Amino acid sequence: MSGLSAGTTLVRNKDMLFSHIHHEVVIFHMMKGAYFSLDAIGADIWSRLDTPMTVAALCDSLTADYDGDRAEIERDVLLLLADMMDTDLVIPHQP
Amino acid sequence: MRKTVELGGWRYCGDILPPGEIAADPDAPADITVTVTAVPAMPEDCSPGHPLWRTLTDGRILLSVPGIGRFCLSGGDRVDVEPATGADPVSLGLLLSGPVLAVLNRQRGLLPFDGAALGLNGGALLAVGASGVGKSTLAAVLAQQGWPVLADGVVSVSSRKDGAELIRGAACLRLWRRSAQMLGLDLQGYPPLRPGVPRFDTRWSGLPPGPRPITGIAILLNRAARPECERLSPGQAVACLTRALWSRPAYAEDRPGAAALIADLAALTTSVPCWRLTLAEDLDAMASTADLLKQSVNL
Repeated sequence: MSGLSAGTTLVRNKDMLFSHIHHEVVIFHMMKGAYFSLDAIGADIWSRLDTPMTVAALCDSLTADYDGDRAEIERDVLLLLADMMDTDLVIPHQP
Repeated sequence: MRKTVELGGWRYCGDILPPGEIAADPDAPADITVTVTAVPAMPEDCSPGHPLWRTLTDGRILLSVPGIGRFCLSGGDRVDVEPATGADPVSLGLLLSGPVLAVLNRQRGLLPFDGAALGLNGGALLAVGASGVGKSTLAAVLAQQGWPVLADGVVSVSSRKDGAELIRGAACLRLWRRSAQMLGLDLQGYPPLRPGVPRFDTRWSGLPPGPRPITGIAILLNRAARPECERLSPGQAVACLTRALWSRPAYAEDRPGAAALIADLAALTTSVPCWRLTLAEDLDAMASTADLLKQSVNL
C-alpha cells in the first residue's frame, strides 16, 4: 500500500524516460524494463509533478483546471498516484 | 558448405541456416550472411546486463546461449556464429530465424514484431503479441476463410511518419499439432521443425512478394473466458506493442535504444489503428475471436 495522504509530497521519478504522443505520455522504466502509458489527464499530472507537490496542492490545481467535484477528483487522483508509486513512476520527495 | 536459402522472405547465405528454408538462387544477393567463426566471449563486466544479450563497445550485439553457441550481430546483415561443442544444428538455425533475425531487423531500423500478417484491403493486418498466445492459430482461422497469409514469426515492419509497411514475409504459418488438428489440417507432407517436437510450417495462399501498407494491428497479450476487442489510443498501443517485440532486451534496455523504439512505435501507432484483442481461453473458440476481430476492423 502506498500510504498516500493529502500531505504527501510527490515528484516524478527523474530516472524515467518518457515521450509525449499527442496528449498521452509513454514512460520507460529502465530498471524494470517496462513501458507504461498515461492518458491525457495522467500525462497532465505527470507534467505537474515535474516539481515536487503535495497531493492536496495537486488536487487543488486540477480542480481549478478541470470540471468536477473536488472530492471526486481527489479520489481518482489518489488511485492513480498509488499506481504510479507502486510502479516507481512517482516517488516521495525528500526536501 | 555455404548455401543460399530463403525463409520468411529473407535470403540467408552461410554455413548454418534456419530449418524450414527453401533453396534460393545462389547468385541472388543475400540479406543475411552467416559465418562460423570465433565470437567474443560475454564481457565479464560488473554491469547487471541481460543474461543472454550484451552490446559490445563497438556496437555489435552479442547473444550467448549456453549449450548452443554465441552469435555476434552487426550491420543488420552479418551474423558470426561460434557453436558450442555438440550444439544441435536445428537449435542454432531456429535462433537465426527468430531472435537473431529480429535484432538484425532492428539494426536496419525496422520493428521486429512477434506475430503473423494477413492480407486486408490491399494491405496487411498484423496479429502480434505474447509468445504462445495463439497468434498463428488465429491467423490460420482467418486464412481458412480466404485471407491471404503474408508473414509469420518475425514480422518486419518499417515505420515512418508517412506510414508503415510490412517489409518481408511468406505464406507460411508455424502451428502446433493441436492447433492444426483443431483446424482440421492434414499435416502429411509437413515434417516437424525438430524431430519429436510437434510443430509444423504449414503452407497457405499468399500474395506476390513486396512491401505492403499496414492497415491495422491486433495486439494479443492474454486470454480470458470470453474474447474481447478494444480500440487503443496511440500511447496505449505503444505500451502494449513493446510486449510484442522479439528480442527487446537486445536493443531497448538503455535510454537511447528505448527512446528510438518509442519514437518508431509512436510513428506506427499514430498512423495505424491498433486493437487489444483478448482471446478466448478455449482454443476451439478461436472462430468467435476471429469474428470479433473482423467486426472491429469493420469487415
